[in-house]
Amino acid sequence: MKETLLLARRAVREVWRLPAATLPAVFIPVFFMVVNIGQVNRIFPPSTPFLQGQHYVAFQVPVSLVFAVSSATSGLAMVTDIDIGYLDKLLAAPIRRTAIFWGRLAADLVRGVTVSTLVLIIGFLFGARVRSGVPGVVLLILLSALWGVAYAGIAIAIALKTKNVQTTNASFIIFFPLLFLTPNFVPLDLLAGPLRTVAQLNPVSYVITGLRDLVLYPDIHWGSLGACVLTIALTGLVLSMLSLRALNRFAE
Amino acid sequence: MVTEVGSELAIEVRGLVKRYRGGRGQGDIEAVRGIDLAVRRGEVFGFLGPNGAGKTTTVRMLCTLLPISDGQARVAGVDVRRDPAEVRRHIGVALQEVGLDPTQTGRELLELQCALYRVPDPAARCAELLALVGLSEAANRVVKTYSGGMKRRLDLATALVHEPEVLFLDEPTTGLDPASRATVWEEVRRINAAGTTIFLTTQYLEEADQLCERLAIIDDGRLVAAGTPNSLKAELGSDVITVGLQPGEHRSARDALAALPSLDHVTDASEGLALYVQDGAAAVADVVRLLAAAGIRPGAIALARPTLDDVFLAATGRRIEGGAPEAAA
Repeated sequence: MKETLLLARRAVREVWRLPAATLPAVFIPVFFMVVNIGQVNRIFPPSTPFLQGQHYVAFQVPVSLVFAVSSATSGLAMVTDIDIGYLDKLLAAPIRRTAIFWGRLAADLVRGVTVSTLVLIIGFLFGARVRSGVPGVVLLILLSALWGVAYAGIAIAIALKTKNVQTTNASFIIFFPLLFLTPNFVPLDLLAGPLRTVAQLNPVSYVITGLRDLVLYPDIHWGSLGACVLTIALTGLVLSMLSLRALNRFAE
Repeated sequence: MVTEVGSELAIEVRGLVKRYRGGRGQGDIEAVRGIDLAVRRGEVFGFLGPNGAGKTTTVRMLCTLLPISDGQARVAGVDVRRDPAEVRRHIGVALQEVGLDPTQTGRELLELQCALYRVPDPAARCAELLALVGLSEAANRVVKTYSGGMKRRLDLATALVHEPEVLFLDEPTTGLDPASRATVWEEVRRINAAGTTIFLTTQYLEEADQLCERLAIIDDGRLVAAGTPNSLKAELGSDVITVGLQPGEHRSARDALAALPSLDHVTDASEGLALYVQDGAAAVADVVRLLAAAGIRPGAIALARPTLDDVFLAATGRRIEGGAPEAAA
């Protein structure tokens, strides 16, 4: 545990000293949010049933949150460590190798909380409100950050497997179909047949829906929240296992 | 080629093999082909060879960074295959790529390293090491602002936080300017004087000559020679005469020079022949006479004491690529 915290502290310092690696993670989702709102604000006024009396921005905030935290940043940091030889130094040290991975994820949690707080504040500035109140805000930030942690495993696994910066960077593209084949513009029941089926199979749909219900409804919807938490946990479990396997095989 | 067997060994290697799977339709590739090594506690042992000879692969196996395909290795008395975690407690590693996070300060990196190795008083140890490598003043600057020599010295310091029994240095001066190289050599001597066994790979002959009590030469994954630098050179005879020749003259020159009374042996050099003789000064006149009698007009003739490059040439028929670094110490 101590080793994980030590390595997490180093990774957090790295995040802090390289803002250029984190800021695009805020800028791009906010840009998408603004463009989307500008395009469909009049089509979906607050009287639209699925908006529950809010502006369309409230419907888009959860999408932006998920978009902002689903980055390849940790994978890129890992492949940089491989490139400069720092990972070798850590692997030659008498520490549990898993601490190298968990240390990265701990930094992802810090980054996730920072980034989702910023996106949420920008959403507020555009008129969004979190109907479930302070507990909802806390859950939104925490669950978004945890999703970022869970998803980080994919880029880390690719970094360890390929040891290549370009490939790891390109892994970001994987998220686009995952994000857009979801009820990101309209609720699930308004999606056309085949797209609805794909969205129902897409785990990211359950994360967005769980977060969105916290924004739109005053009461916590335990069903959607439970599905969201379960999706985050399962994604984290599977991708962490993949990453740890890649780390164990790294030297071979 | 085992040079020594016994319990006072810091590193003991027998039949070490590293095999990589070849591409589709190709057989396995052996980067290290069954080498034996015996490094005594407290010595500086050199591992000399050209690029791609298998030096780094060997070091990475001994540092537990690469699985061993075959053979046995013990480092600091611990079996590398059986208990790699225990090996890591006893070794320090400074690999060819300086493994330093450029976003951290020198002090932060050293403190982290101390904490990971559970050094009892990290702050005091950091201050001590920073002073040792002459980086006390630069300690609070981020590493990306350091020069190549400073990075190398900091990397060396990170390998020393826990006072390792065995220190692996993989080409520690590659890419450094002569002054930085001299500083690193000085550090290596100082660390060794404090009792640390040092296993040093290098492609620089002068470095091996200056620093190493004993060395092994590796080429194409196999050991081709081992011993002290002086004994290896002595095996070649007392002097080397290099004779410049035109292309196509090698064979006739060899035939003519076979009559040289003090000739030990002959090898091909890059643009002529290298003659290993007992008394070089006396033999030069005979060399000129014998070549003239055979109708050969030699180019430059040079007389020198054998170098490690001559040892490598004699063992492999080639010179080490990269050759000697510019004079450093």
